[in-house]
Amino acid sequence: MNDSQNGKNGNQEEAVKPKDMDPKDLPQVPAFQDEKTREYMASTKEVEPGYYLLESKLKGFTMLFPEDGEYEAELSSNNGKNIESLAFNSYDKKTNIVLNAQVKYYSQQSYVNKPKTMLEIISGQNGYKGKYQKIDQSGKDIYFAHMKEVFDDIDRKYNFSYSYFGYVKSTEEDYLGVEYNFTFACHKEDQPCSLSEEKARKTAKKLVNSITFSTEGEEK
Amino acid sequence: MRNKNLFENENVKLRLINLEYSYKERFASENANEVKKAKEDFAADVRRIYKEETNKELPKDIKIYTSKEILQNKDSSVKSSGYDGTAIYIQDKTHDTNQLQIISQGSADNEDWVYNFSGLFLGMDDSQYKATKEFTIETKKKTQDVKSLNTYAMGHSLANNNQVLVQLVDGEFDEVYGVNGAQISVDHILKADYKLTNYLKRKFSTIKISEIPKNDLKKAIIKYYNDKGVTANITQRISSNDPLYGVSGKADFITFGDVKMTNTHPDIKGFRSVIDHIPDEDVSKLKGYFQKYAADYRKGGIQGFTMEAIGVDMDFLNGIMNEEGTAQQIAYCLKHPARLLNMVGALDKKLPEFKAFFAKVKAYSGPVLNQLEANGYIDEAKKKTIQKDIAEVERLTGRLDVLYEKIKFLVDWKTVIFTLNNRQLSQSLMKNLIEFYSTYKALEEALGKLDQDTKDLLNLIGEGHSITPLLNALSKKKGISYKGGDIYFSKKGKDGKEIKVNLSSAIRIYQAGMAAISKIEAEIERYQRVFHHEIHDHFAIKKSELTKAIHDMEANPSRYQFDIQFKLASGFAGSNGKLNKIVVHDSYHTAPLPQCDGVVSELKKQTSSKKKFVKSIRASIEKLFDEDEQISALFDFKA
Repeated sequence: MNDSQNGKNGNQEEAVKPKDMDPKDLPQVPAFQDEKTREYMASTKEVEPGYYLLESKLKGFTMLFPEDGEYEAELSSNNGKNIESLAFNSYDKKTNIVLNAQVKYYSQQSYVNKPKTMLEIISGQNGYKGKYQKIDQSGKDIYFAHMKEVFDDIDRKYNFSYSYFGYVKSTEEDYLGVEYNFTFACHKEDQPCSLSEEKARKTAKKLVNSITFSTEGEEK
Repeated sequence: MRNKNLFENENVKLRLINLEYSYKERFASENANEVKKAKEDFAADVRRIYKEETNKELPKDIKIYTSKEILQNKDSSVKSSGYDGTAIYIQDKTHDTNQLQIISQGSADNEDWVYNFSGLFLGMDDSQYKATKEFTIETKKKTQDVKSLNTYAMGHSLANNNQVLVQLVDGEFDEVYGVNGAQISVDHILKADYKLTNYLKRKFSTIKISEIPKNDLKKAIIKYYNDKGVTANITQRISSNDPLYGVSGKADFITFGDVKMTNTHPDIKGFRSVIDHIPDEDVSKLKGYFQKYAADYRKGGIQGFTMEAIGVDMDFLNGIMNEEGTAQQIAYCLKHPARLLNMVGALDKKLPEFKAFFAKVKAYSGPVLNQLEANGYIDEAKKKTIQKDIAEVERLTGRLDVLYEKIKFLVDWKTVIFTLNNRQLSQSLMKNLIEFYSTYKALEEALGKLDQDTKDLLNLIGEGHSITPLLNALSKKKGISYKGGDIYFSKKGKDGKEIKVNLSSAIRIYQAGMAAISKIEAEIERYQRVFHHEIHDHFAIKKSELTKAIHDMEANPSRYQFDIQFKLASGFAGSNGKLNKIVVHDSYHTAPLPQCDGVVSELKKQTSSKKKFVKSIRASIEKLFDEDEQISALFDFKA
């Protein structure tokens, strides 16, 4: 057994993953230059201007990833089997807008198959009381909600944020879903900030829509 | 006091949490009838406990929901969320009672706590949070009039972590009660509460949470939840001897709510000062390493853990030892060079890790054992024994390492075949392998001894985590104690000695005895009835039938002219004559009828003496406790 030193499938792993490449040969953006973030990048090919493709560690889903995005270990976790949380942030110095993102992948959990229950849980975790917009897409149902948060007790100019959150449920496979939260805020107090709900929503929708379940890749 | 928590009494809560553990297996049954019966028994036990503790009765309408049925997936291959719990729904419209009591199950009580603790914070994500919340949402759907519903949560150990998490994030419960609970770690709450992380990042104007100084972060989180108003109704009861409490003093944990401390063991001064000898980062390092082989620990104790952690292929070594003579042994290795190399490879990775781990254990064992002695867990003799055991394990591990280095020098991918084919080298290899084997065997034995010598200590530490000692400590003044779900009442006898009565058991005997006796009484009555019916009534019926037939004969003799009976009787003499008259001289002789009165009275006598005996059990206990009304009522209580 030990003689077969090659991977399981020689031809499958044709392209070298960004994490195995010399950083010098990788795009000079945080998504590839940050060592931890690089591990999630599926390819060096720019999918659309400013966005690359991310693949989750459990290979459960892929999504667009902003080039200035950086992984946040404290809010991420991975149980090696069926649950993975991925947190990342991106900061645009020009606009002074920061995006705090969390994407959580669940499979084989009873609540995952009950969208109503799942949304109730997600509402609780976001402190949200309203409804969700449902968008049918091929292979998935997207539930989308939005909330402006103002923290009165924070004595800062930028004490507010726009959050876009909800749930993406696979329609092709049972017990499979991704929960998300994209929160936009102004970062530096002493700088102007061009945060607008409209623009934030557009970015959030782009990211949500890009979430794709990669069921074939899942180990059974 | 509308809809006040029915289970306000702390002993009720503690006993219900204990009770719920004991139904774990029955609730998990695949057989629907068994589950139904288990739920009935559970409800009866809940009523009994409530009665025993409060001398009041619960409303009639109680429903039980188990996590197994609520969180069941259609597809059985789907992994469960790992959440276990039971909900009790109590409704009583006449008293405005409408409440849902959720008992979450922690890591099993009294089981191997070392194993349980190692898994407590493993794979921390929000899935346990979600499962706890899911169970609450789904059981709420089963209730009536959700607007007036009050929801209460209680739990032990890890369950406390889940319920407090749910309470912090969205204030789900009206009250939360935890006993010897696992506390909230900063890491964990950050992963479950989006609003909190958003708040913190805005407040500190940071992109990542890690940019916030640890102390400020902790303070801000505590303030955030206190301001939110979700912590005031959390109550925690903690034993100062709880090892989990010992660990909760470490940096990353936050204890929310009103904490009531209790010392459950007068001779023991708690576990926290023991753990305090190990710095935070080493606690997590040691735990992290231990977790890797936790399953082996569970199966084989310290011994099983170490053997797996070192990574020796015992099968292979046994194979060598089974060969006779060096030449044969070398031949065996030549047959299996890959196994030899694999073992060397595994050792190369695992042995240094184990050595580092054990060096830490050894280093901390001094102050930790001293503190254990000072706190009353062990005596000096025990401490010395354990120290000796640890020293022996260290010596043997060191020797193993030396031998391993020699073996590694002789074989690697490139040299293995050359070595085995070279007379001198192969003999040297065998010599080392054989000594390696015997050292390893000695280590195995030393670990077995360490296992044995620490067993009582580990049990004693573990006891601090369980619920019953707490119940006993809390009820000592009242002269009540508990064991295995039963309640014991104590009283000083005339000679000053303590008399302890298992009241639950006495009540069981009394109630079962009385039930059996009334069953026997009913049987006797039935016997009497049947006897009367079958013997006396039957005789009367037969007699009246016969009398009727006689009358008929006497009234209509001609009808019997050709009756063969009469022909036979008259010997065919008057075969042509006419039968004019039949006169029957009636007298009814029968065999003596059995008399049942004697049997019945004997049976009744026996039964009443049994009844007297059962009643005397009750009477003597009542007398012992000076006709305590509560105790009297318990004997009459039907769950």
